[in-house]
Amino acid sequence: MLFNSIEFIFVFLPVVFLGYFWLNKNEYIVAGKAWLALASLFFYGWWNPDYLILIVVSILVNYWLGRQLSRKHGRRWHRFSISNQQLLVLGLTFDLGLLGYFKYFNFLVGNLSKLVGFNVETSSIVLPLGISFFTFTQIAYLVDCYKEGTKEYNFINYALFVTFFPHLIAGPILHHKEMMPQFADRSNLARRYTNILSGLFLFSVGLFKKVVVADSFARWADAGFDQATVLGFYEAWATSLSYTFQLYYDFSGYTDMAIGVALLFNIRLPINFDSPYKALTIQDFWRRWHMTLSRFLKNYLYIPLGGNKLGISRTYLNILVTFALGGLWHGASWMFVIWGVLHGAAMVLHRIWAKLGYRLPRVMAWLFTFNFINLAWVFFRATDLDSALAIVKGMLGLGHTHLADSKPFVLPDALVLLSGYSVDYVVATGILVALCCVVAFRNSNQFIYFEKPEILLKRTPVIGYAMLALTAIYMTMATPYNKFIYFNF
Amino acid sequence: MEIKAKKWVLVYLILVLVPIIMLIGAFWAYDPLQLYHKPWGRPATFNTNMRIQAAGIIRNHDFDSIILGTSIMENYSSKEVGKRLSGNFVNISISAGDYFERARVLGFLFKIKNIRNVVYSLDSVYMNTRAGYSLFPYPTYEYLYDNNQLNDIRVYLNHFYIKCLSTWSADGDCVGFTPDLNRPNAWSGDNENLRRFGGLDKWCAASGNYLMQDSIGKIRQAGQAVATGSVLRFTEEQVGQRVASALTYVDKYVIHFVKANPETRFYFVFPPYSRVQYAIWYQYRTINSFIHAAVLRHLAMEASRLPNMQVFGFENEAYSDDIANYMDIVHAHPDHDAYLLASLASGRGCLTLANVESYIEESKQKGLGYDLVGLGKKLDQCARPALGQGDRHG
Repeated sequence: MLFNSIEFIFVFLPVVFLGYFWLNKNEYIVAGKAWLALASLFFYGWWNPDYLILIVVSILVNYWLGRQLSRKHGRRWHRFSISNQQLLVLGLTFDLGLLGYFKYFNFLVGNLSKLVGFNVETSSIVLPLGISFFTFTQIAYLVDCYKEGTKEYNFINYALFVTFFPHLIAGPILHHKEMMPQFADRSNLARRYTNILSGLFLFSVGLFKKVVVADSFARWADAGFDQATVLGFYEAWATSLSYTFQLYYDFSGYTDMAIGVALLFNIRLPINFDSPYKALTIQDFWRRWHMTLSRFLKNYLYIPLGGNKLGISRTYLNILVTFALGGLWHGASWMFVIWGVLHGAAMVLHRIWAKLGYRLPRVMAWLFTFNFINLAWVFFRATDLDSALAIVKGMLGLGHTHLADSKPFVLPDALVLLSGYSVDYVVATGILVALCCVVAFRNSNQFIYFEKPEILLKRTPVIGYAMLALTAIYMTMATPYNKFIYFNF
Repeated sequence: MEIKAKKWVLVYLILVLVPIIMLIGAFWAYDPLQLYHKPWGRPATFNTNMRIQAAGIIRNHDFDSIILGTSIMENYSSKEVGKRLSGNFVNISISAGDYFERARVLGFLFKIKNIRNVVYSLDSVYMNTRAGYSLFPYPTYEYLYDNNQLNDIRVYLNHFYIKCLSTWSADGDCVGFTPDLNRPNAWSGDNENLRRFGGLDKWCAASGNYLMQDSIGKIRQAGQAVATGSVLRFTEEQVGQRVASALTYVDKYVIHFVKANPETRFYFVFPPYSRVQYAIWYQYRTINSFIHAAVLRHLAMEASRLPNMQVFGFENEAYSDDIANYMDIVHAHPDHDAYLLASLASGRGCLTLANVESYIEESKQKGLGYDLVGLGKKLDQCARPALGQGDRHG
């Protein structure tokens, strides 16, 4: 079920919300949590009920392993003794095995068969939704149980932590320490209208970002990436910028909606965006973009690899490895690896640059960082290297139109060449407005996390975001649903 | 603060929900495509765009048999078919309906109703399907055929239907012109179509018509290629791949339903195109003739295995030879429909394992023997500007 679907907005969410608080009000606390967990599984099974068994088994195995790991000493069954380290390896093998099979098996087989020259048939494995997210969430849980002997959690709370539908499909990637206390806190069981109001605000803004903004940019980006045969200078820039803003508004829209829906249930999900396109360095960007993934990669990959404690060259290698694997996490494609390596290389270069003591003026730093991010997204989006390079060539003026010959005032006409669209001023205006919004305004979730909710208790904001919601719901009903980009990961 | 917040939550919900509920409620009551109920306060009329209309017919009208063709079958009278094949038929043929589109309708239909008979035209889309083509507007209506009636409202949420709703219009543009389901999308009464029957002169006279331009362009292109020996050539591998994908396509979107619904009787009809169309396949675009023959054999084979299906072909009959019987290279005169319907009832033209090879051979010889070059030259005289058009296969 999509957040931007009629069935979610008008049926699923109201039913689950009312059911949950009715049960809580009548002191059926455990039933309330079970209701929420079952509703989350229903939400997950809406696409493909077959994969319910996968997530249920994953939860059961990880919960059991977590309980064993939380005890200080290894376990003994009959004649077999097993250390906590072995249990952790077992758990990680199980989690990564599941992820590897469903997400990377065909990729590996395809590449191996190319390497050895045999034509090996790949199987028709369908990627279960959200597997990357619920696997990472549980890996973090297991590692923490091993390292810190995390306290034993109630099973329903644990199941709810993993399946809680606002984050289940596309994050944020949760940490049990920030979530489990919230599920256990009895003061969260009653309706809180300040949270509901904040949740509705974020949901409205997120829905608008997704349905109105991101899906508009999607049409232009798709036209350039998938349909155009020749891209000139302006078309290539319009294409790449359209995708840059599509991705941002799609993912930040999803995250706003996830955080907003969770707030309706008095659960505060971690912040995932902090105006990433305002970043002045690539390091700054990764502190602001998909913050929960950055946190996971840092804590559970970069630091275990040695972080910056093993010398400069090893630090750089660790950065590159972390980003390459971070890229691969997004999907089984070399294009994601290339994107990851590009970012890793940029991080290394940034460190060298900083060590040398150079600093760019703020505007230059922003321009440089934003354009690098925009360029790298081309590799993230393109289906293959040739398509990506064609767009990059176009952006550099080496393709259809020569940079030197182009004149800024022909911009609108040039954009007409975006295949399938006679759009001109609309694309250019859309890009400019989107750019202004991401640079000049604060992220919507900052209203909730960094400011007092009283700011929303006024006529103008309430009417304003109700109108945003009304527009977005109308668009949701009137146009075919578009999946969130991060649902693919 | 909680009390104040509660007040603003209520304000928010009222501002958002009231307009949405009013809009949904109004469209639910107005319901020009009868997606939710039969019309209130006006007689039932039907939209000729069957892609969006068929869902309402399936949900809210009684029948036990369907005609699900393309423009080839849009003139078939449901009553006539019902008399011959015994059943309460409706004709929900979709103009230029690809198999994957009709499969969407069939899948939905079989979930909702028990169906006794399906009459289905096997148009040559297996040679070049539009399935998966990103610009094809399939997403704009396919949701009408899912289990979720909530999202059906989307079809009304556009400027056109909002304008209709605003005046509660009973105008045919809004609620459809056709008063019954006998043949709601028939084109046999359209003079623009009928004046193209009668032979070459009629085709020439109508050369401004876009369908005619398409046909004339194809013929002239093929005629010139045959005359100069520059026909399209394909490797065996290319032919093999295209044949395999055509058979997979037919199995997935057509035969699947025969196997899944053994109680339903399926009448599959290869449309009797004009000989010109077949000649283009056999003489110019030879890969199409291989695909066509493979599909014929495959369906004859399946018909021998599956007792609830019959396949009919009329390509070997003399009717196809005379272009006077056609308004373009594929659409036969509506008068011919009665003959075809009688054949479905009597079994004439039924393809079996025993006769399919001779049928293919006879059709092939007729296709190869047709004077495509001569026809092309004649058309050069009347329609020179149309050259180069119609390269796509229809």
